[in-house]
Amino acid sequence: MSKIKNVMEMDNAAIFYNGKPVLDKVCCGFRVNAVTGVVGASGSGKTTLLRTLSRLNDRVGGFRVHGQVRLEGHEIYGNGTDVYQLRRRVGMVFQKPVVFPKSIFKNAVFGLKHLAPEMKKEFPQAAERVLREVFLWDEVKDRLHKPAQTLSQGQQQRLAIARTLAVDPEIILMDEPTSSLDPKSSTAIEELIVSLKNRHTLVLVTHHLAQARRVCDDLLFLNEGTVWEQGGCLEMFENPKRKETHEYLSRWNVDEPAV
Amino acid sequence: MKREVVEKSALGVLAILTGTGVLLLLLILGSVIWKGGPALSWEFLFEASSDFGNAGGIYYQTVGTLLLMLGAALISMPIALGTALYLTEYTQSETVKKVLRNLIYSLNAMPTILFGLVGYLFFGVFLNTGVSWLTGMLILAVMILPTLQVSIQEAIEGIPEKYRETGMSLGLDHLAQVRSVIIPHSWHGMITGVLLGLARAAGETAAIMFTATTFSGILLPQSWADPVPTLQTHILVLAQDAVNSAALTKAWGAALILLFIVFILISFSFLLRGRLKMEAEL
Repeated sequence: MSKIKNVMEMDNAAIFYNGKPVLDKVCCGFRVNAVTGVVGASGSGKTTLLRTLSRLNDRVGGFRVHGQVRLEGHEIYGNGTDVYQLRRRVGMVFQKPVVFPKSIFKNAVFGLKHLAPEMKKEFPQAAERVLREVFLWDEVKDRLHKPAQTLSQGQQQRLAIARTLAVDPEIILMDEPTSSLDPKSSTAIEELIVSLKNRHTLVLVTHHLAQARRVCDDLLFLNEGTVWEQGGCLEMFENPKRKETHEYLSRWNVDEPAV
Repeated sequence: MKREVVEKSALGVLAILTGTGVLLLLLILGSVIWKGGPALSWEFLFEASSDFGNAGGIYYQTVGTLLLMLGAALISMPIALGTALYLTEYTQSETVKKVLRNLIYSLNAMPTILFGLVGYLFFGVFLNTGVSWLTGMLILAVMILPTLQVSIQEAIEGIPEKYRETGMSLGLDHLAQVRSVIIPHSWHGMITGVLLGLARAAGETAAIMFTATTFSGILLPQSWADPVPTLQTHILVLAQDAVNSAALTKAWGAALILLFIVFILISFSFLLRGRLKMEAEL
C-alpha cells in the first residue's frame, strides 16, 4: 500500500468531542481512484472519521482534532486552509437522501449555482451530464422541473450524488448511502460507486459487509475508535491479520440481504 | 375510584377556566361587533372624519395606521433578520447567545409606555424627529423587533440540519448558505413574525400617542416629519371626550376595524406558521 499514492491521509489523528476521545491514534490512507470501505461496529467512529475528512464537524461545539489530516500532502486543519474549497473538493453523500424542496433540475445544479454562477447558460448541459453519470437521466429527463420530492428514495439518493458530482469533487465520502434503500436501489448505487472510481476517489462507510466486499478495493476496520486493520479488501476478507477483524468480517455472508 | 374523582374534578376545573377565558373573549368581540357594527358603512370606511369625529369616517386613520405599521415592519425586518442570523449562524459563543437572547426577551416584556417615553426622548428630542410619522415608525419598529427576531430565530433554528449540512458539503460559504438555504427555508417564519409584530403594534396606543400622532387637523403625512392620524388615537380620544352617542358609535366602529386588521394579521400568521411546519417536516 505504501507505494501507491494516497490522496488523503490521517496521521496519528485523534478526535475529541468535549474533551472525550472518539477516535484515537488513527493512521490511514485513501488511495486515489479506489473505493475504500470503512467498516466496524456501531459507535466505532466511522461517521466521525468521514466527517472529519471534509471538516463537516467544525460547527459542532467542543469538536477538536489533534494529529494530522492531509489532502494531497496539505494539512486540512492548519491555518490558511480554505474550508469551503476543501468541502468542494471532498464531497459528501449522507445516509438518508437529502433533496431540497426544489425541482430536480435545481437540485442537480444547486452547488454549481453558487460556485460557478458565470456558467449559468451551461447549467442544463451540466445537469444532463451528472444525471447521466448517476444513471438517472432517462428516468427524469421528461420531468426535470417537477419537485425532487416526487422521486423514489433510491432516485433521490442518486440525485444527491449527482448534485455532489456537479461541483466536481476529487473525493466523494459516502456515509451508508444505501442504508435506507430497497435492494434494487442499493444495487443501482453500488453500480454507480464502481463506475465513479474512474474519475474520483471514494470512501464508503457501510454496515453491509457483502456490499463492502462487492465494491471496495481497500478496507479499513475500525474498532472502539481506533484503526485495527487496513488493507486490500479481498485480502482482509480472506486473510485478516487480527483475530477481531476475522470475527467481524466472517459474518459478511450471514447478515446481508440477497441483492 | 378516588383517582377517577380527582381526575374528573381537575378536568372540570380546567373546563371552567377555559370556558371563562373563551366567554370573556366572546363578550369583548360581541360588544365590539354589537356596538361598532351600526357605524359600518361605505362612507365610514372611505370618508375623512369631520366635526371632531362626530361625523365622517375613518379613511385617513385606517391608512395612517397601515402606513405606520408598514414603515415599522420595513425598518425592523432587516435588523431582526441580521440579529437572528448573527445569533444562529455566526456566533459560536454560547454565553453571547444567552445574553443576547435574554436581552431580546426582556425587550419583549417591556411596558409599551416606556418605549413611547424613551423613544420620544431619543428619536423625537435627541435626534430631533419630533412628533412625526418617522418617530412613530422608529418606536414601533423597536417595539416589534423582539417578536420579529424571536420568530425569525425560531424559524432558522427549525430548518432541518440536513439542509445546512448539504449546503456545507457542497462548499457553500456562509453568505451562499444564508442566501440559498437559510432564507428560503425560513421566510415563512419571517412573515409570521412580521404579522404577529404588526398585530401587536396595531393595538398599541401608548407608544405612539405623544410621538407620532395627533387627533385632528391632519390627513395623511406629506413628509416623514409630519404626524400621522391613527385608529388607536381616534378611538381613545372619542371614547374619552365624546359626549353624543353618534361619536361613541363611530369609536366602536373604528375599534371594530382595528380588531379586523389584527384578526387578519393573526390569521395569516397562523396559516403561514402551519405551512412552515409542513416544510420543515419534509
